[in-house]
Amino acid sequence: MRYLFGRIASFFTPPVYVVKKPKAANGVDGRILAYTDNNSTIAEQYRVLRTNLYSFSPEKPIKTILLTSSQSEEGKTLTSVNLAYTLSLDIGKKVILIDSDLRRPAVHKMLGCDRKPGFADILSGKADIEYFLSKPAFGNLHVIPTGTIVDNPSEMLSSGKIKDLLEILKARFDYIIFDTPPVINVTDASVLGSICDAVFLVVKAGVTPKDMVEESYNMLKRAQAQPKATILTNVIIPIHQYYRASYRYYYRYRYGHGRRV
Amino acid sequence: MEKEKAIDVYEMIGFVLRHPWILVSSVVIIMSTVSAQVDYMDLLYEAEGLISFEGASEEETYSKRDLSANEIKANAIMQRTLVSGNVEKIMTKVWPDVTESGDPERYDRLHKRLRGQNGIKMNYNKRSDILEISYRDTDPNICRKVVEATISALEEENKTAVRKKIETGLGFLREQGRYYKKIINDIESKIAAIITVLKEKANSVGKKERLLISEITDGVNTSLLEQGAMLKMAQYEEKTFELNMQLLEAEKKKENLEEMLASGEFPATIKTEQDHRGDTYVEEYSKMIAEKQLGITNLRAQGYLAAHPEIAKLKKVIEALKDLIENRAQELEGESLIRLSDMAGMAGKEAAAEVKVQIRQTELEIDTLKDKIDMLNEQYREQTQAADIAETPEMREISAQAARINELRKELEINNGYYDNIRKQTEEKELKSRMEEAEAGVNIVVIERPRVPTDPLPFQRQQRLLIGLVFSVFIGISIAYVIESLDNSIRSASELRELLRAPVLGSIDRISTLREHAAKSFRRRAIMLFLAGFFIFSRIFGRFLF
Repeated sequence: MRYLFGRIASFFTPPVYVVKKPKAANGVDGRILAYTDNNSTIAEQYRVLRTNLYSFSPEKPIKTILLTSSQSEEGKTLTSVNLAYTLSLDIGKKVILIDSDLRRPAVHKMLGCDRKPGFADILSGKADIEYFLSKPAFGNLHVIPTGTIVDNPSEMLSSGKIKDLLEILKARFDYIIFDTPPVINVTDASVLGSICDAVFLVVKAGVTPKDMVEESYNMLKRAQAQPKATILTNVIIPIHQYYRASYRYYYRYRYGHGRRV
Repeated sequence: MEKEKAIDVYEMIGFVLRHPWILVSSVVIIMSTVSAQVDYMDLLYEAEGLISFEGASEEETYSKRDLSANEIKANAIMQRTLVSGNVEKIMTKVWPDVTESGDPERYDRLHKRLRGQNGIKMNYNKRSDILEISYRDTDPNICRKVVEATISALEEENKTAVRKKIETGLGFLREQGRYYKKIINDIESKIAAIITVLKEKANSVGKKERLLISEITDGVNTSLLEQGAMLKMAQYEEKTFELNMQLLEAEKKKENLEEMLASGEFPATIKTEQDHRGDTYVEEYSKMIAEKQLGITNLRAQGYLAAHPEIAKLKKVIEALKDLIENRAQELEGESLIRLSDMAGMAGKEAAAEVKVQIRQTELEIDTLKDKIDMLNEQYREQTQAADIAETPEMREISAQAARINELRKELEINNGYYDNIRKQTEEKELKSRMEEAEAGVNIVVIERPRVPTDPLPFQRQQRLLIGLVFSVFIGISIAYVIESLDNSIRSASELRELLRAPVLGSIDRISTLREHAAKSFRRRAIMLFLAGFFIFSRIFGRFLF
């Protein structure tokens, strides 16, 4: 009976990926699907994102990417890690991910590595950048976690040291991805965004109100860090679109581990 | 284009599917209350009675709307039956315990109910000429009683209406009859009075007179009339009257002239009758007047009343002629004025001589008149003697009475004629009314008496459940719609693109964890449990609530 109800109900609900294992073997968060389940549709979507990124501005190639969002819990850390990993999967590209959220660091949690030493230490001069650049921390991806939590993150980020650091990194890497705090809460994103090539705004569908998105966009624009594009997460496609042949084909093309709920 | 349309439909209902539990819970909650109520609801029964209007013309149609005579009658009766007074009658018959003074609220409610939408229904079926009376109630016995009472009220109403119509018409006729009867009685009593007087007189007069009286009292036309003696007598009366008046005038004129002579004053104008007496116009007019007056006399002698149109006509003509004579006299007077004014210049002696001449003329007039009167008297005496009537004052009185009786008899005849006419009309109408009343009773036939309904009206419960279902779905959808419209978040890449005018690099699907999934299913189960509980609760407690 319950099975029947489930089957009937599943007809009316579009497919949603459910992560079975919250944490993979080596401490990696189960939601890093690019790593854990590379054949899933979501991993495919990240690859699409990667392709779009390549073709985004062909005349002026993007090297430094900043990912931010309007408010917290929008999936920017997840997106940045997934995107960075997907980029790193591309043979021939050297990618480094920097966790510049000095107030609520999250990248180290996702990847199961240590927080310190990290970015803050580099900026304060306590750590050497070579430590991070020697070998990739995660697959082919180099990672610089947050580091020691400091009292004045904004001041640290606006110091001249960042520019020097960027010069060094630009020489060695093809893509530098920064994961920053939300725009509306603090100015870290605005400050960092002004020195990056591209700023991408991560928006969580069904959660972020429109006015907030607009407000954060304007804030970034005013700080000379205008987002070049947006990334939409947490999308649930409506059923009527799901049942259109093309979508059906698209979703069933790749068999995934997730089950429909 | 077609694809877009299909999408629109899905998008329209898509918002409901985003909040499925709202719709489900609204349906479950409302439907459980409805189904609990439905189990304990009182079902309606309906009783029906059929009445047909027979006998009246079936082919007759009135007006352009092709209403048959039956339909008009039916409509009229329906309206009259549902009048307030009849409704009260029905109420006392069916609910004798509910009175206006005892329980005014309930009384009012019942009264309104019977006359309102859920009350007594009357429908006239044009095609089959049948009037259907029906009533719905939860108690089947009441249904039957109400319809029964309505039918009897309808029959009553029909009879009284017919009776009322007849009564007004008859009443009027009866009034008229009484009026004429009174006049007739009056006249008859007058005649009787005269006859009594004459009969009394018969003892104290001569033989001839007695004969005359007996002839009169027996009501036979007297020989006097046949001989035309009455005519001549009437003529004589009028002529002597006129001549006497003329005599009086002449004597007065003579007096005036003698006064004038005695006083020695001579006014500038002297009215001289002579002038316009001799005028040809005046003569002609006078002749015509005399002719007309003779005509009047003739008619009066034949027994016509003074108010008869012929006599009135003649009188009018006489008046006109008299006016003409006046005018002519004035004309002539004017002339004579001119002439006499010359006279005023004359000496007193000459005027006196003139006056003397006039006096002499007037005296001559008087003599002529007196002669005429004497001649007439002679004639009359001859005629009455020839007719073998003694010229006694009693005879004259008797003949006058006879004439009066004849007059009254003519009047009596005329009035009797009116009275007979009215009596005929009244009889006709009474007959017609009796026929109509008989017909009215036959016209309404109760084809089917109402029975106590055994089964309630069908599908009441199902109807209520259906309404509940539709209503709950509607409520669910509207709540879902409200929630959707309150949500101003971004839902698709196109929305985002439109909002920021910046390209969307990519859209990532939702990644859900086991924990979220567990929370979701827990929520779902909780809602289901709650709804099931509500359903059971309504089932158990429905008994107490409904």
